[in-house]
Amino acid sequence: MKLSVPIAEVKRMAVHDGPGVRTTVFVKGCPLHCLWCHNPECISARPEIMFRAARCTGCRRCEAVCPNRAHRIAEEGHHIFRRELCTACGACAGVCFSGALTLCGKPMTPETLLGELLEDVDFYRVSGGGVTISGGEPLLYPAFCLALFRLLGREKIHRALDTSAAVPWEAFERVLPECDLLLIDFKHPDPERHRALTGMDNRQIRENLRRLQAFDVPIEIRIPFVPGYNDSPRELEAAAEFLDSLPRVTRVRVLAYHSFARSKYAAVGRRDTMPQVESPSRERVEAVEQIFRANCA
Amino acid sequence: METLHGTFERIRPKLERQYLEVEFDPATGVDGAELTRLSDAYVNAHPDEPVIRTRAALLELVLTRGRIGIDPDDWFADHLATGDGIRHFLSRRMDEVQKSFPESEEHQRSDGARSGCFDCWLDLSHTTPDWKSILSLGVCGLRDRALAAEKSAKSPETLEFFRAVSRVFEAMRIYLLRLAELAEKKGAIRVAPVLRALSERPPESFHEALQLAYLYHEVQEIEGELVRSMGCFDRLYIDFYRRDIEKGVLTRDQAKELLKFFWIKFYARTQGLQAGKNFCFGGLLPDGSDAVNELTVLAYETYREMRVVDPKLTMRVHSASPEAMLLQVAECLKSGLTATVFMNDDVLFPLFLKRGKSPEDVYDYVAIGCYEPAIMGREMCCSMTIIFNLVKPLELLLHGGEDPATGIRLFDVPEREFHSFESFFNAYLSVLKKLLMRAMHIERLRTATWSRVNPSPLLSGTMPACIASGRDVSEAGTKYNQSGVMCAAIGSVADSLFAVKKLVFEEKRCSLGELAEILRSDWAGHEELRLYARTRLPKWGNNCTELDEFARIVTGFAADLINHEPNGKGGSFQMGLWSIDHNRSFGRMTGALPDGRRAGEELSKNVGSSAGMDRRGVTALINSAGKLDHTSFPDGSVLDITLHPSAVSGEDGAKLIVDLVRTYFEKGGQSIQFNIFDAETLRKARQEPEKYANLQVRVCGWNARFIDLSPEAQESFIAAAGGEDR
Repeated sequence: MKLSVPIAEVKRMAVHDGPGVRTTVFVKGCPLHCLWCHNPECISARPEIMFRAARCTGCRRCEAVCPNRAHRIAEEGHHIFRRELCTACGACAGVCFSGALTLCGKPMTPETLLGELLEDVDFYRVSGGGVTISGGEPLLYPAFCLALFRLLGREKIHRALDTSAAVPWEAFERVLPECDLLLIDFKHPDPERHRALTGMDNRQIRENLRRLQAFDVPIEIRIPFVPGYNDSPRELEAAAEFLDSLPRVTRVRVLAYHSFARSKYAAVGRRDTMPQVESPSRERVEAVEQIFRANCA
Repeated sequence: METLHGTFERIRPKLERQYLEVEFDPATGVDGAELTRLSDAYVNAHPDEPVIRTRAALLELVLTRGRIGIDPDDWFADHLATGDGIRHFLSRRMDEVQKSFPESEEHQRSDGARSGCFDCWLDLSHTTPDWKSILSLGVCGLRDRALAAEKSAKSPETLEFFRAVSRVFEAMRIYLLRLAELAEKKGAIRVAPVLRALSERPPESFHEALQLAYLYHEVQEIEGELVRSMGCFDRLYIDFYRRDIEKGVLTRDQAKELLKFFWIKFYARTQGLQAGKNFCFGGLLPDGSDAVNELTVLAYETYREMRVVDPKLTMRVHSASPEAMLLQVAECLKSGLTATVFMNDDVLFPLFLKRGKSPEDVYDYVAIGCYEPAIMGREMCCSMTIIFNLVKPLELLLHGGEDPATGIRLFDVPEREFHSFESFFNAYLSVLKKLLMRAMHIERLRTATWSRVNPSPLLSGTMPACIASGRDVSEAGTKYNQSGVMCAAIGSVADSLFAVKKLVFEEKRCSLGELAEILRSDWAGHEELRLYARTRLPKWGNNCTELDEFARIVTGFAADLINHEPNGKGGSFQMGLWSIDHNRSFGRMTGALPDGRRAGEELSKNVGSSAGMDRRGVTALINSAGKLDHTSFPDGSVLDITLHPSAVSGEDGAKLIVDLVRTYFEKGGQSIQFNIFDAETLRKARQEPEKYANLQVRVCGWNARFIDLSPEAQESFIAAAGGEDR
């Protein structure tokens, strides 16, 4: 099996993907299509050109190097990118010094990633941090996750996996022995509503969560709090009731919805599905977190 | 007594304006204009007397005859009309001495300054007295110590010195007495007993100690030298505080209020527009324990409640520093109160020993000015005698030794074609050496004039070594006498060296001569090459091994040169790796550089990267900075970390700050400080995103670079940051 996986980004000093100072590896590819997805560049498993029109200086180098004529700079400097012609070969990104065109999804192996992840080993040690694999859905690539975690385990580095759990159980089973912490999203308690919001029902997710209780890996649940979508008292209570039945859940974190990722939809040429709703207030988030905390304890 | 307390918030607006509209009591003495007249007349009538005697006489004139004022609502008294006489005398002396400089050296200095390469001057502004002597002896004790020494004076010069010292402290006693009498007359019962006591004996209470410290601070600045450290606060004042608490004459809340009245004076003086005064906290004690005590906690609590930009604070840290205290400091940073610099005992102690300082002295170091380490009461560090732009020699080298903007030629380059990068690098090091040596040579001449310009009997009188030797601080009377060389723009140097290596010698995109021409025209017609150099070549601060090595070599080379060079007052020069805001002023005078920087743009700041060029984030920046040998920067080195408030807003935010400090210090870093940006900065980031590429924002479940957000999202962050402001 080839262990090379498309990597969207390696984010250093991630301070929210588990304890301490961490480096987070974002893989590309996800079985879900959540309306509010904040990493739309991680949905497709294929490499993609990200195009930020505002940064284009109209230098036309992309025009010259593109083998498929996907780029054209019109008279007044307007940059037309025909994505349907693009094969994500990366030639344009290679000559785009202003950063308007970047290639997202370079394939990397655990071995090639390790060097970069080890750079911050002193920060992990001092802060109790480590490495998190996120995405996208890392468990689309269980062999990759296992291999990377093994390498990190040898260096005594804490390993967290940030997953939607919308994957076959076998994927979990393979990675669990090398995983120190699971960060699992719980987006909606109702199967049909879940399907409407994410493209898949939540039966597999619930089943995986139940089976995980037989293992010794702590689980942090993350609830994306999207006002009007999953925050009615009925929905919250149902979620709390289910999560309460899971003894391995050490914590439930409520993540307030923001639309800051909106610009990334345009950059990868995806239809913007983000809800047009306000971010919930800090008070609201804390109040909701309280529901879960009470149930958790 | 109880009813006197609890007034701070109510009268705070008045206290903040206390120096803008001082109320003097006309019956107490002559006004500023008259003082100036008397002072000028004195100087004219005594043209031939020793300078130190004139200095003492002028200070005495102000302290004993200047008009004074007391605000009965204030817990401290210090209002004194000063006039301009002392300043007149100082600048007159300075002018006379200036005329005596050899013309050729003065010419060289001027060329160095006008081309943006270096400048030198007498640094009278980076001093700290011996606060221990002041607080343990009081003004009478300081006067008597000098009087006792006078009896055994071995030469006319030392006799003159001791007389000047005893004279100024006697004048200060009279000043205290005048304040006490006015306070008694006005019924200013908050200050009257304290002033009376201090005119007779050393301070015994917390209140008395603070009153004396503030008054001394004011009087030293009237004498003409800025006080740049108020000492190790928690060590100096803890005994006073504990004694009062035990006796039951002071409550914790009252102590806090006193500290507020005390600290607000520092803000009132500067209105937040000047560099501010440094208070030091924590750090190792000789018995191996840490100095943090209940006063440290109280002081930071007070600072947080006050929300002022002055004073500025130093927290000394070592591997066993108490976590709870560091978290308390970090909580202040989190809330936008970022005036604390962290300094590393574990690096500074070996540094001091390497500099030949006695092991028993190292525990008493403080930050003078911003983060320049010096031993309190035993050292004149004069940390800014030379400012030097490390990247200027490289720019000049490219242009044959001539500054393109001004046409000033600082050196000749016999051969302008270099056949390898190594020969270019070596040529850079050799012109760097030439210009550093030139600056230090010029500065030595300036230093030698110090005692003719500005002998300082008040400051010297606090220093035990000055009393023992009979020499003023201006004549190397203290135990350690250093001269600091501020070296700016290390990041710009490393980036430019690397760019030359790549562009010219490896990728051969242009010849060195072509590159020089392109830079001379500020990249005109070569925007593509500029963007390539700017965005594609690695930069300092990204943990890039090959490039970071350049920074290590250049700083090591400069440190070897500077740290062993005698300074003409019994000590040596010492290297500082910082820039303060000279990264901008030097930047304005530096043309386009090979790293893609345009002419006039700012240079890299302090130990950090060029603005926005630390693309791989804070941890990579710390990894790069940690590769330098910070024990070779005795004049200080400081790294700036930029965080967005949202990156530290969570419950673990304070711990993140502490963890970053601890990791950097474990890697051998010397000092570190944080920027947690506010709305205004974010607005600037919107306008000039290239300069703020490293600004990270935390958005619930993910972090993003601020510049990657949509305009609306940016606007939302700006609003949020504005909402969190005071």
